[in-house]
Amino acid sequence: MPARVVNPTHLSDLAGRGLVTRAGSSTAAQDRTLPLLPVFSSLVSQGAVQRGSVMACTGGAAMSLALALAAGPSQQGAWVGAIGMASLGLAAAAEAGVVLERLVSVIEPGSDHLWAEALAACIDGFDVLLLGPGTQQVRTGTARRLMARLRARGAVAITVGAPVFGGDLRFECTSATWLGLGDGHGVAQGRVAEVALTGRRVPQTRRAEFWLPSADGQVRAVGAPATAPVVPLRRTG
Amino acid sequence: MAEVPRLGVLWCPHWSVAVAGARADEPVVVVHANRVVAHSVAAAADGVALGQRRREAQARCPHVRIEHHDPARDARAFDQVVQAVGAMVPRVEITEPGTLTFMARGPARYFGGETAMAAKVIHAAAVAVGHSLEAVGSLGLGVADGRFAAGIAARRAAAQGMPLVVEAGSGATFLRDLPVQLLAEVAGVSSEFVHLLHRLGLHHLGALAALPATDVSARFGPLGAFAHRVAGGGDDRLPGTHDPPSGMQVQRVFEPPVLHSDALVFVGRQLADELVATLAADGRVCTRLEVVAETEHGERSERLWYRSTGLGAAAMVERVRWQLDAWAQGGDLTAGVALLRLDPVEVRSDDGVQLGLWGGRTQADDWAVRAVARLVALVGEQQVLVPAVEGGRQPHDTYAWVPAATADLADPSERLAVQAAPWPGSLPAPSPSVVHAPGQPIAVFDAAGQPVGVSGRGAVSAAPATVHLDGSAHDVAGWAGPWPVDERWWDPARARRTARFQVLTRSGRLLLVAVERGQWWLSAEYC
Repeated sequence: MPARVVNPTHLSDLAGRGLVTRAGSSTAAQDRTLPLLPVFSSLVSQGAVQRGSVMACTGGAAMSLALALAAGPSQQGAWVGAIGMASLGLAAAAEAGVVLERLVSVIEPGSDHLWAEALAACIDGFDVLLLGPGTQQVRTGTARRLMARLRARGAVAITVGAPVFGGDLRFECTSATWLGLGDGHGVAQGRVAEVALTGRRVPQTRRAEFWLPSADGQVRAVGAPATAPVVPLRRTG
Repeated sequence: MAEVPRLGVLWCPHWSVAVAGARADEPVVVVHANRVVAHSVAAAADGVALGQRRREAQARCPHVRIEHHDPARDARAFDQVVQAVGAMVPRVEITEPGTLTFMARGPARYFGGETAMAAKVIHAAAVAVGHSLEAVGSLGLGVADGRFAAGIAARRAAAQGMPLVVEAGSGATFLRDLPVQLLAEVAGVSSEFVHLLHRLGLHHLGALAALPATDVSARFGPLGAFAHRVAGGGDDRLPGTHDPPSGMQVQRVFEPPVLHSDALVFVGRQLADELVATLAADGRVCTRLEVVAETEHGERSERLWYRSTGLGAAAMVERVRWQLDAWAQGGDLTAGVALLRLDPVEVRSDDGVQLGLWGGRTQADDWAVRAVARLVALVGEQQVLVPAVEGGRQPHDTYAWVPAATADLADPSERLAVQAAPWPGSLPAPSPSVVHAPGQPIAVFDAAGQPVGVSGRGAVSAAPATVHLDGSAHDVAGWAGPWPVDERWWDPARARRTARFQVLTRSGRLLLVAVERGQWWLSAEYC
């Protein structure tokens, strides 16, 4: 009886195939991406992120931005694994739109070997990984191997203060201003942050302004998106 | 009834307790999602029962040892029993860790009768399990027509302490006076259905079997027809069960051979995805799966796995991992694995255990729940946490992190129920994205360099001008407060009186700080 051997040329397709397979999202393009919140469509092309990519958040509003980026896939049924984020504010995560039912936190595995195994288990199990400053102990070689596995498996990583994992999409908060707080009166009502996006697949630096967070904790767009030089954006993909 | 296969079932009661290494008189329970799923004899003597909450079990038996449910550990430990029985009987199938099933006809002929065979098999299994069996009672071996009757016979045999052989063709007589609860316990029928049977006055399997099959089928549909058939000692395979057409198996040859079990499991996952997709395209699901792994020196591991509800991709991968882990632990591997094969031995038409379209369980949930179980085994239960609603005024009070091992991941409604009670005095949104619990000690000074204080009536001594934090001073660009909280003043031990401030530094960091008895704390940050 001839056994059917999996053709190696199809392996990448198999590995990249989505786990959040739901009726209505069966087209190949949708399977290979995870949707972000609609507000990010001004910044990220198609408003979705390629499976297997690493999104690095830096700058003043990095944490809020990371939560907002995780919120889109989370609302579509993806599980979010927060690793090395022992002090993640759950109220802020819930306000940003992350579904707490599908949030798991792994604190401090300890040795580099355990980090590698725990992260590998997370990559296998969760569609979105939030990698925090607690992951600084991970060695460069380990991180590179893990990111290769991430690409093969088709998960997405969002990093805050964890440069060791690199970044296909780099979100940098270039300026951030809190509003609502006076000199002894008022209360913080929101922060206007300018986010610049660079990366290998982003030919030109893109910029957009967001309320990060707005008065109810969600992310919102501020006015129209602006591009750095006066070159009109070309639709890609 | 000639077509119903003669099956032997070996059942170890409370297997996970036996694996946990309980001593003979030690009360031990195994807890999953806060409910008792297995207990030792000593714990049962104190009133612990299956399905109790952890706290209830602790109340009945305060010195009970609590172990966490780890199916991977149970399966690894069960492998030695499978090996011992497999040496005497061909095609041993692992129904679940703690239960195995085999075809009885051939071995019975070889050993000179079913009773003689049963005695030999149970002896071999008892030797393999060893003394940890004392804590949970004794192994049970039942031989009967079909899976259901044999499973019940095994449970009764465990209670009696000797193998039980139900004569061929007398299954209906054996089952007649047994309670219908066994349908839920052994055959996996939903307990709601069993309750309904009770309300209809059908307390025994015989009463259900005596009804006309067409009436039961008309009233309860396929589930009722299945229950009626097994209650009468009939075939308990679901309709549409058959051997799959040839060529369904998927395999991968490794060149060079792979030593790392993690890499193998990763490939196993790709194979399982492929196999499930092929079967699903025909509307079928695999109920019996053979997993074969071979090293380049010809060593071979072959196990047959069964699951009545069908094996999804995640369940297949889990079984591949169990098998490979047990094989590697056996220690007789001399080379890397060169071949991994998944072979569906029995498939049936998928009766629509549909994954959730909107809401309900999805494949992603399945993977995640398994990943959590694996993470807990890797890094310990205190390191893997999930959110739970707690309620309170401080940022670290509204939500709490609870160990994932004790939470029910499939049904989070209890842990994340929105509380109706308002918390007057809690801060409005947006909430801080980084919460320090416990807070970090800091110092706050006014423009004159004096420490800022808050009086008992909530008046600030002076406007804060600098915040000393992480060993450096930060100038204050804006601030608001104090927002006093006087919590639990009726309980001297837990009373807290603090005043909270939002402080914006000139570098753009927004901090939530609190002063309590003259000491300032950084309690959260809006990153």
